[in-house]
Formats: sequence, C-alpha cells, structure tokens
Amino acid sequence: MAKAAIADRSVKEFEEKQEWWWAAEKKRSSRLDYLRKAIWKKGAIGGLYAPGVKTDLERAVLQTQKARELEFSPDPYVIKFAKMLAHVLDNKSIFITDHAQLVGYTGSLPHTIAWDPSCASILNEEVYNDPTAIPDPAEKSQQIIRDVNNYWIGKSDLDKMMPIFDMEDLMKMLSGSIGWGVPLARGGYSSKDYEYIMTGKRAFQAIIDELSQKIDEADEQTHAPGATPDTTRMYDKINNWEAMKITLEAGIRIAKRYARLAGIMAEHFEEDTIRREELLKIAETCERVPAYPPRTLQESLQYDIFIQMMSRTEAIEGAWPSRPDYYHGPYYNKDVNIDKSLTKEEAIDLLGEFLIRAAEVCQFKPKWSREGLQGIDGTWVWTIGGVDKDGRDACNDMTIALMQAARLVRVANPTFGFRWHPKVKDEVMREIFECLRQGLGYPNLRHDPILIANTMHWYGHPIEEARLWCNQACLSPCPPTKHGFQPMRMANATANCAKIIEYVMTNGYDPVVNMQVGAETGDVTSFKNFEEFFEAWEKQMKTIFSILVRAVNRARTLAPNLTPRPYLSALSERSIESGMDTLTPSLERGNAWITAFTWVENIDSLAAVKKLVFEDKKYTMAELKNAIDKNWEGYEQMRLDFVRNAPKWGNDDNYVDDIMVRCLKAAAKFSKELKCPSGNNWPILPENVSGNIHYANIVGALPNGRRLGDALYDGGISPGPGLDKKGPTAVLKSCGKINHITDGRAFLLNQRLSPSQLAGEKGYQLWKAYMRTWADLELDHIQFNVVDDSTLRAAQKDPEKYQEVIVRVAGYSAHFVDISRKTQDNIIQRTVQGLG
Amino acid sequence: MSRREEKRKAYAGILMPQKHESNAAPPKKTDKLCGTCTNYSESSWSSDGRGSCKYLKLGSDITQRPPVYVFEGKEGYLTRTLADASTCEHYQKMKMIDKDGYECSDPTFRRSIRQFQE
Amino acid sequence: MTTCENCKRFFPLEDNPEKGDCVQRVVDPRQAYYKSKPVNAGDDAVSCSSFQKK
Repeated sequence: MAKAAIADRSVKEFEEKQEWWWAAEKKRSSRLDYLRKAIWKKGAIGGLYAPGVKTDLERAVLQTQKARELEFSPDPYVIKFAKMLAHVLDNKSIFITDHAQLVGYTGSLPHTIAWDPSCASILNEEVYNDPTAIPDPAEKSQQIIRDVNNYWIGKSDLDKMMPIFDMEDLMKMLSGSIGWGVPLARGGYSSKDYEYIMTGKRAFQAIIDELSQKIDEADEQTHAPGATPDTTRMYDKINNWEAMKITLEAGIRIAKRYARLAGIMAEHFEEDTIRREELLKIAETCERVPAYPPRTLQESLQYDIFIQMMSRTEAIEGAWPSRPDYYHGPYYNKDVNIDKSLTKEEAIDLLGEFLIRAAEVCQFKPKWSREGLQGIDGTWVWTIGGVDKDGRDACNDMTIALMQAARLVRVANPTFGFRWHPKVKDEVMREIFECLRQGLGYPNLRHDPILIANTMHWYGHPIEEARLWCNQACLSPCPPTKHGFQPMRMANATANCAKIIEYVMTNGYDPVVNMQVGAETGDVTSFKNFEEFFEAWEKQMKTIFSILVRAVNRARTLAPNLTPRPYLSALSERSIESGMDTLTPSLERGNAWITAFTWVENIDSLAAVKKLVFEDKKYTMAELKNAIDKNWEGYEQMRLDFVRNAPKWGNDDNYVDDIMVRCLKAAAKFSKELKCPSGNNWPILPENVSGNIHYANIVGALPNGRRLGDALYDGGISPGPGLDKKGPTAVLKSCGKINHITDGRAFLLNQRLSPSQLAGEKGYQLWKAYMRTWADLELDHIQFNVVDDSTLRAAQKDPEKYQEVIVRVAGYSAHFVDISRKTQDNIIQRTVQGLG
Repeated sequence: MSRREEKRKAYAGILMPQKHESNAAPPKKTDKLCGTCTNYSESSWSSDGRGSCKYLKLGSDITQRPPVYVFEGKEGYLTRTLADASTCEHYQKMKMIDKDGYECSDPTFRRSIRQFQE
Repeated sequence: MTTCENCKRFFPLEDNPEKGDCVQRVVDPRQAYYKSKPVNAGDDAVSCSSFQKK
C-alpha cells in the first residue's frame, strides 16, 4: 500500500477491516518501524532464498584459512576447532544498523546467510549448486566456493563421521525418503544450561577465571608422581577446558569490537546528540556483556544475543530454545517498575528490536530444511508463561510486554509457545487472545501440568527441573538445567511416517529413491485379516524409527571426540565441572524424541483398509494394491470411496480413534525399547512443520485416497484438511482420547477459527470457553490460524499488497507470501471451525 | 565381493562429493547427463547432485567402457546428476519442465539448477 | 605506497596502532549501517575501491 494511503487512514479503520499489519505499522515507534522494514528476509521462499540475499563467503574463507594454517599444528582437534571459531569471531565483519540499540548477527553483513563449511561436504555442494544466493561477481565467488569445498571434502564433520556410521543406514537416511535432518552435533537443536548462565550469577569472565584455576590444578596433578587412568583422562579434560576458555575469550573480544565500533560512530560520524548517546550506551553495554553479568534490560537482552550469535557461529542451530520472560523478566521489572529508568514504551522498543534481531538470523540450510521450513530459517519457538521451580505462576509484566511488542513488529519468527496453567491471570489470557485475533498464529498454547508430568514420565526429570522447561524446538519441552538440557537434538530423528503405511503396501521398497528402505513384511495381497496388516505396519514403523535412532545414537556417542562443542560446553555447568564436552551422553539425563511427520495418514489409511477391504469386503487387497501402484489413475471412483466412505480421524468416531490410540500405544511401547546413549527413552512427537509439502512428491499413493504429489495432512494429530466434519469439539474429543502424558512426547493440533467470530468481548468469551474444554480434555498443544479465506485468496492473487499476512504453518509461523503455493492451498483447505 | 561390500562401496562413492577438478569451472562435456534422463531420481535430501536410476540396478557402472548393466536386484544404480550418460544405451532424454522456482520438492525440477549450467 | 593507515576509514587501535578497523558507511536497499573489519595499518590498499586518502 502506498505510504500516503496508510497515512490517510486511522488505526481504527485498519483494525475494523482486520488489516492488522497496517495498524501495527501506524502504532509502532519510528525506530521499530525502521528496524522492522530493515530486515532482510532470510527464510527461503518456497525452497529458494529471496532475491538480494547472498551466501556469506567471508566466514567460510576465514575458517578455511585458519584450518589450513592449523592442519599440521600439534594442537588436539578440540583446540584447533576453538581456534578456528575464535579466528572467525576476531576477523569477521561486524555492523551496527541505524537506530539499533542491540547488535550482533551470524553473518558478516545484513543481507548475508552465514555458511559454515566445516559441517558437511554435501551441504557445501548445495551452496555451490544454488545460483540464486551466490554473491556477485558470480564467477569469482564460484571459484572461492570451489576452493573452500575442495578443502573440506573428507574433513567436514559428516565426512569424518561417515566411515564410522553404518553405511546402509546412512544411505537410507540421506536418501531423504524417511528422515529429515543430519546426525551431526553441529547441525540441529541445542538446548542450553540457562540456569547456569542466565540467572545473573556469572558470565564469561567468571567462567574463564574458574577454567584457568581448573587448568592449573589439573596441570599440577598430571605432573605429580603417579600414573593412573585418571591421569590419562585429565589430559583430555585440560584440552577441553583450554578450548572452552579460547571460545569465551573470543566471545568477549567480539563484543568489545562492537563496543569500539559504536564508540567510533559516536565520536567520528554521528551528529545527532540523542543517537550519539545511544551509541555510547551500546558501547558501554558491549564492554559489560558477555564478560560480566547484565545489570539492565538492555544488557540482559544484549547478553542473550551474544550467547546465541556465538552458538550459531559454532554450529548450525535450527531452533532457538528460550524463555525470555523468565530470564529477562527480572531486569524488565527492575528498569520499568522499580528504578523507572525505562518507560514501558522504551522497554517495548527494546523487546521489539530483540525479536527483530532474532528474526534476521540465518545460516545456509540444505534443501530438506528450506522446503520443510518454508519462510523461516529455523523454528524459534520461544517459551513464555508457565511456572517457576516451585510451581508458582511465572507470568510477569514482560510476558505481557513481549506479546504487545510482537503485535507491533509482527515477525513470523521467533514465535511464542505459551505454557498455560490454571493460575494464569485473565489479563494474560486476553493478551494471548489479542495476538491470535490479530492473525499472528501465535502464541500456541501448551498445557503446562500435562507437559510437566510428561517430561517426568518419559525421562525422569525431577519436578523442580521439569517445571523450568522450554521448547527445545517447536514443541518438545526440555529443562534448561545442569543435567536436564540436551545439547543437541539431531533433526534426522524426524520420521516421514507416511512411509510406514506406504512400505506396508510395497513390501518395504521405496519406488522414489529406488531402494529397499523398509522391512520386507511380505506381499500385502497375502494378508488375510487386519491383524496381519497391522503387524506389518508395526514392523515398518519399528524399522524406520530404528534406522533414524541408530544414526543419532552413533553420532551422539562419537560427537564428544570427533565433533566437539567447546563453546556450548563453556556455557554448561556440567562441562566446567567435569572437563568433558557437553555432548558426552553420560553427563545428561536424556531428552531424545522422534518427530513424527505425516503421522495421521497412517491412521486414516489403516481405518480405510480395515473397513473397506477386511470388513465390508468391498475391495480386495489386490485391487487396492493395483490402484495404489497406479497412483489411483483409472480408479477415481474407488479412490473417492476411500476418501469419503471410510472413517476419518477427528470426528469423535471410535472406529478410527481407537486405531489412532492403538498406533500411538504401539509406538510408545517401542519408544521404551529404543534407548538414547544416556540410557533414556525415545518417545514420538507428531508434528509436521511444512514437511507435508516437502514430502508431497516423495510419498506415493496411500490407502486414504491420497495420490503422489498431493499435499499430505498438515500434521501432528490434526485431522486431514476438510475431513473433520463434526465441528471443533469433536476434534478436541478425538484428540482427548490420546493420553498426552504416556502416549508420546507432544501432539500438535492445528485449528482454524473465523476472525469475525472472534470479534469483541463475545469472541473472547467463546474462545475462552473453547480453551476450557481443551484444558479439561488434557490436550498438550493447540495453535490457531485466525485469517479468513478471502484474505488468503486475495494474498495469493496480489502478494505485494499482503506481504505482512502471517499464518501458522505447523509448529512455526510464516508470512503467507513466503510459502509455496501448495502450502498456501493446504492452509486454506483446513477446516474453519465455528465455535459455540 | 559380498553384497554388503558391494553396497558399501557404492554408498561411499556416492555420499562423498567429488573434488572440483580445478579452480576453473569444468568444461561442458555432453548433453547426455544422468540428470536429464527420465530414469533418474534425484536424492530428496539435498541438491548436492546425488541420485539413482530407476532402470539400472546396483552393480551397474556406466563409467566403464563398455558400460556394465545390471537389471537384477532391487536397489537402483547410484549415480549423479552430472554423470556422463553418453554411452548408456538406456538413456532417455526427459522433457524439461519449466517452473517458476516457487513449487518445491519436485524431484524433476530441482535437477536443473545450476548443475546444468556447467 | 597506498596502505590502510593512509585511509580516512582506518581507525587504529589505541594500544597497537599497527592494527585497526576499516569502518565504512553502507546504504543497502533495506537499511543503512556502519560496518567494521579488522585490518593492519600496513595492508596494501592499492586495489581497494573504498580507499579515501586522509
């Protein structure tokens, strides 16, 4: 919309028309407006990076340069790696954006995507093969990329791990057919020991001092008379401690580089006195943190940004576990309510910018990730609300301020997961509702008492730690505590579950990647009853899960030596104490889970086979197999029968709901047989992100009537789009038949509501009543899309005018115009539920 | 060679990217590349150039002169998008699909990116 | 000889003037910012397109 047209209309006019994005633009401060519009959108549009966004070659070159220099040095690998990281932090370009109060970015310049060449050669090849993101001049950049890629072949983390993996499992996984991510310690979702580093008790310098002392003591010990296995282990500890120290020192140095830049800008370039003061404040802040604990909200937010930025320089992190209101809330309260050194508006400006700084972050990702997380770089689902370790309501003024800031900046990433519990005050619920009503698609709501019980059930986390949980990725709670936090959740334990039912039909052979990936469960036409069919289903389920879990277990076991994380270790109490890398499984209680993409296709397919083939005998299995092999071509009438006349999940129909529960219980039982290297369980967590679109051409025809190429269901335990015909309460009732504590880790549920129905106080009361039913039925999750079809269709037709429309995809939010047409259609197809 | 050894060799060969020949872009050799054949499936994990053949089975080797063709077995022959298929008798040129780049995960779309520019 | 130390954009470190930062103003299509990159005072700046003599 033209600037003049926005200026001519009032906030009220925009709000009445539910054009929340224009209303936000008018309401936010000029600083936030500038910074919001300054964002280079990094999430891949469909599967490709946006025009103007370029791969950052600077970091790749710096890292390769240092790696070459250190190749024949006598340092152990962990120290070499720490030195490489320090070299990147010491020499990368840094920048400070006009009007910014917070600084720090993973790439060298605002429009760049950070590229870590040391993770995987196959990722490096993808950098080379993506012409859209190669910086100009292309020929020179390609030469640089070739040189970098050639160096890392055989030396990258994945290349080093490959010979030690079971090659057949790895091949099946990296075919992209059944799994998603990669079994790497530097490529997934890292929780952090926030109880150690975010409670204001210590910061980098104190840890460095402790490390120096430990190194000196250990050095003395190893040279004292005597030699035992402990002495040998002590050498490794010293190396790890030294590496940790190198990374923390580099962290302080890069912060001081920002301080210096801000000082130079203030002294030599800035003429505006107010801005000069702001720059001097930035300089003071970056001199203070991360070396010393924060004293103010600005310092606390800046400290967090530095911690995250450095962690994202050490590894490719695809998620952002965080609990901002819990850890920054005390500083907000001190500055705004006690010292009154900040007005609420100034604090919201800082929080809005904090969201923007996170929204900008990006690291180069492979195809499976760009397509599976369309529109965003990773799932930054920040956790808010909940309780403290004693079970008291932890919501505070910052919980509310964060939601208000989110409505002003309207970024699609980060989003919030709100930990609902019975003591949450009405004023907080109203803020949540307002975010949903204004079409943000977040916060999603999480049932705190259920999830605390679930966290204790699956892993045995003590209640005081379980109560501190924050999302490790989209949905999975993890305590940010000494032995509770999981330093790396490798995304390849993400199962494309529609393959389970597909492989029952194909005897385990995958026609897309031309491999025998699943188990040989026999010719499906020979099955005489549903029980035989279900037995094959169980075997395929176990086979797929096992392939993925074996790879993660192997990688986690090897990681401390082969692919250590000295920086993440330096932020972990258990590593400082023990001298062992934080990835060492014995230091952790275990918090592993299998993300179950495309799960509900199994349920509807099993129900259709049971009903139409084995019970009604309307079709033989041979006929079904034949139709599926032909992708239902020539069998449209039969296909429609399988779509329309078989029971479907989400309608409070016990026929199919019992199958859902049976499948989940079978998976839950097997989850306890699968063990992580810490000796703990592997529960499943059904959700999808946009994997339902990524896998559309990878999953063949299925007995639920789906054809190859059709979008899969939108995920978790959400019913198939348009197949939940009995209304919203029936959906909740179906989902309520699942035990959300013992049947799995968490269960994503998408719901679409009509914006007009949510208008005014009546809308709030309707929604609140609906949420009471949700809570009473003890569902662990729900998320809402509150955008009407007409807006979405208008956005498809005229994307330029609707750049800021946000939708909840599944587990994350995205700007509607940034997701592929297929995903857009899939969201529109979701049933709009009428309440009341 | 045992079946396991044979598989392992094939898998290792395909999972490790090949070094770029020099610092100059390699010259274009032929229009007949595995990636332009109807029998080719690109890996759905990444666009790093890995793929497999729907027609030839594991044990085939079209880099040999004469090429080795195996039709027995289940596993497809592992090959690369840019593999020279000029001597493969089973090569069938596909009709190229023109897409706007906004549809995703279409195995027959991804192959054309950049790799064919060289 | 044209070196970084002769450039307006070079800001030496107080404790080690042989090293410093190259600080430049950039205006890209979305935002304006100052960027900084560590350089040595004696680095050759002959082919640097941003060089501005002091």
